[in-house]
Amino acid sequence: MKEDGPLFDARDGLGRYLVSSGAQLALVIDEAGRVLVAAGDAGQLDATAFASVVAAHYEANLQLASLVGEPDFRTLLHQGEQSSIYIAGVGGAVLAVVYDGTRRLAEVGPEALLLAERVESPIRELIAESGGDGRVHHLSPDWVEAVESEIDRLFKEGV
Amino acid sequence: MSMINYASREINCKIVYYGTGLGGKTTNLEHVYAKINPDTRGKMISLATETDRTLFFDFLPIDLGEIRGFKTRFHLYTVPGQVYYNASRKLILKGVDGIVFVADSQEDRAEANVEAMHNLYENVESYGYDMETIPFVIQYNKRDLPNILPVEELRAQLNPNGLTDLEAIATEGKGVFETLQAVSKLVVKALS
Ligand SMILES: Nc1nc2c(ncn2[C@@H]2O[C@H](COP(=O)(O)OP(=O)(O)OP(=O)(O)O)[C@@H](O)[C@H]2O)c(=O)[nH]1
Ligand SMILES: [Mg+2]
Repeated sequence: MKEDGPLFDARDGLGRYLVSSGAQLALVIDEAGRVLVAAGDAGQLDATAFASVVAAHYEANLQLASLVGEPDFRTLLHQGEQSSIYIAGVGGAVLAVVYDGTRRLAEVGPEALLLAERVESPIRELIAESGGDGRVHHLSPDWVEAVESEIDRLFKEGV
Repeated sequence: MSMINYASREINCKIVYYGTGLGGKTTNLEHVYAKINPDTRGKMISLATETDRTLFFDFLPIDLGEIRGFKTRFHLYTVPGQVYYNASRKLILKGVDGIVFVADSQEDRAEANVEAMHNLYENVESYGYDMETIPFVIQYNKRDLPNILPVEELRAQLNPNGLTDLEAIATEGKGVFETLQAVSKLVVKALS
């Protein structure tokens, strides 16, 4: 793994925050529901499934906002018994932080907002680098051939 | 639109099953979930009503493992087909890399199929994506039922441009993997 670049910066920012805040897991998720950056320990949580629901949930909330004439609801807070979730839009992506139930969201909210500001610029860079800005990337014919044969193997009827 | 994360060396492709209500989109994903090698599938998420109608989406991730240095995954989604869920349907198209249109072959669903196809074009284009270039296949489902239209007729209504199309009986698993195979190959080709 490269020791510099936006992925490293974003992961580093999230990692430091986890240590200082006692949060369990922080994810940056793109608008299509894919995990861009992850830090911390997912434990029992299925991070892939979690990310797909967070992205849809966040997008749905943007729609709710526009229906009541707000530009957005930038942060979403869910306080539970066992765990709590903080969600915010950041740099064209979505930041989700999972805390265990002992931390009240009212107290971590301002901290998390600072985190969002800190990781915004690496996240923008990362999205641009990944093609999320609409640039087209091309992979080698080698890769395409290898994936195609894997698709044939895996998606054979009645496997 | 495909996200190639060079830094973490991951490629995640988003494939969306679209089409009229009760056409069989969720049934397609359920069959894939039931029959694919369990090591490759992740958790399936279904946000549905008590009567099993999709309310927001279904989600099923498939992990192809590391291929030539890239962790390669397909994320399969279905949308809610019922007309009045358009806002939710549109959200799920964000960042789409490939589309499967599941048509209901029954005669009395002909109009609903055409309407869903128009709605797909409208929603995709509202994001500035180009339907001409998005990997796209069409599935004529429910071929087991008695009151179905001949494929030629469905083709004339839904596939004037001669895209890849396939027949299916999703409840029996027929044509389900062929459809996924066809769309995922198109998605991968679009990356070369
Ligand atoms: N006979 C027959 N029934 C099918 C077939 N495929 C799906 N069905 C049935 O059609 C009904 C609707 O299927 P779903 O997969 O839930 O349809 P959907 O497209 O997800 O519907 P929405 O979520 O409302 O958009 C179910 O009762 C299925 O069992 C098929 O090939 N043949
Ligand atoms: Mg459904």
